Amino acid sequence: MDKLLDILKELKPDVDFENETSLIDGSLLDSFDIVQLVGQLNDAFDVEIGAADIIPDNFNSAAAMKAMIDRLSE
Amino acid sequence: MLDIINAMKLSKTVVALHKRHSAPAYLFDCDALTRRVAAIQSALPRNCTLCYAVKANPFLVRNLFNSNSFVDNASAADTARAHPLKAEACSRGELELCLADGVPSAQIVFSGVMKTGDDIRRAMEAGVGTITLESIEQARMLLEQSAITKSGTSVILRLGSGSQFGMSETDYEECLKLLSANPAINMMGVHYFTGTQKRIAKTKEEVAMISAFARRHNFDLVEYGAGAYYEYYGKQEHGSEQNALNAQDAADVDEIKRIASLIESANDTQDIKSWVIELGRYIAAPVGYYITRIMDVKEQYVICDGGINHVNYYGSMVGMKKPRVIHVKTGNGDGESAATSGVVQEATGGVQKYTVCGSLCTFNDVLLRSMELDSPAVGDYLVFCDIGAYSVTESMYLFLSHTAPAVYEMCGGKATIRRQPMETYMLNH
Repeated sequence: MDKLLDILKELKPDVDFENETSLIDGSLLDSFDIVQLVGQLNDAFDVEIGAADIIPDNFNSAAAMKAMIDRLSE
Repeated sequence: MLDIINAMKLSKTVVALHKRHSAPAYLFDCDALTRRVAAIQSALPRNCTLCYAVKANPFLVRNLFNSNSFVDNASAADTARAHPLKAEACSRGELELCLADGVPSAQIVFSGVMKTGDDIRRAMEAGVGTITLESIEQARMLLEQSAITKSGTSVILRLGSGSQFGMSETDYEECLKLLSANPAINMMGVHYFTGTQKRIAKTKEEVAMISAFARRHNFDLVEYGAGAYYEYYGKQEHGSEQNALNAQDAADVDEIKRIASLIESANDTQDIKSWVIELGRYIAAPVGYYITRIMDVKEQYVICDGGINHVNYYGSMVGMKKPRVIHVKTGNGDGESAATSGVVQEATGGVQKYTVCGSLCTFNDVLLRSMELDSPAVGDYLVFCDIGAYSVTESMYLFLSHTAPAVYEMCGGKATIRRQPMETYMLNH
């Protein structure tokens, strides 16, 4: 989780990633952020986030992203 | 208050428009546009003139500046006479478009971060009402053209805000000095615009700041790009015709009312004589529709004959956010009965999540990542709402050489074609 939070904080220092649960629904991340983030997460965690994974449920919170990464690592 | 295009009529209309050329199509509702502009002008304080940012949708210019548009709307005609609408052209092309489409030159504001001396001369010779200057270089070019044409013009100087646009306060002072040497150049005031989809708290700061700036310089005019926020992704029923009814009514301009009270406050505290308020997206967004046909359905994927080569919604987050979309069923697979049956809404209980994709051979061509639809079938249509701003010109028509969409406008319930569908491969070789 720490590694993920580091990546997120570097991307958007002003967002409270520990507690936010509406990153997509609340428009706290924008299209550029998502595109950058997918690339960074793929590299950092050695996963392949596919088109089917890019849904709000997987990106609305750090916890949701962690769960997606864990699933893809299996 | 229902829009003139009620849900049933819209569905029948859009299906007929797509069938004409078997190609995706844009449709702009000119009656809604007229009502929206009138509502915005009524909501603004008395010392404000509305200026339409042509970049948001150049197809709307002809109707906005055609006095016949107001034939059925007397109160809109009154507002138009009291506050003649301006048009902001931000390129030589937009300037030519405005002149060709009958915008009175006195109502044109010629802006743009990149201008040539030739562009400035053209604007001066055409008699545009205002030229915006973004830099010392642009001021220098204007002075040069003023000497060549032996004429003057009115100008506003754009104040910067930490981007490539406008100038620093230091450059501003130098520009004022340079221009004061030429009595033919009329310094009208300050120009300020920092971005679109602005939250009202930011607008409040900006209005206070720019009016104080104008007061310090004894300017009579503030020309302000409000960037008023338009809600694309609010409450909606996915695929439902109800979206056409729930879609923001054209005359619903609450955000302008909020901005108006900030301007009134600045009028009082800083004694600002007049404002020009620039709006583009906020005027254009709700009056546009995009029609695409479902060509294939496999597993959870719906493939349309349009795609991201035609469609661009601000803040859509690669298709994760869902704008208002209407699913028009045609009752059978080949769409033959579309014109007669219009909409067949059967509760088949087949509502599932689909990924709605376009026609492009790229993983990026996803219009809607996860959209609930009821039994989408080949031959059905999807109508994207709130797409009147930017999308029609902002999308990558040339990529993969697909047919560019037709453009229609609807006036008095009648649809006429503005642009035929176009084979883009002809531009690509």
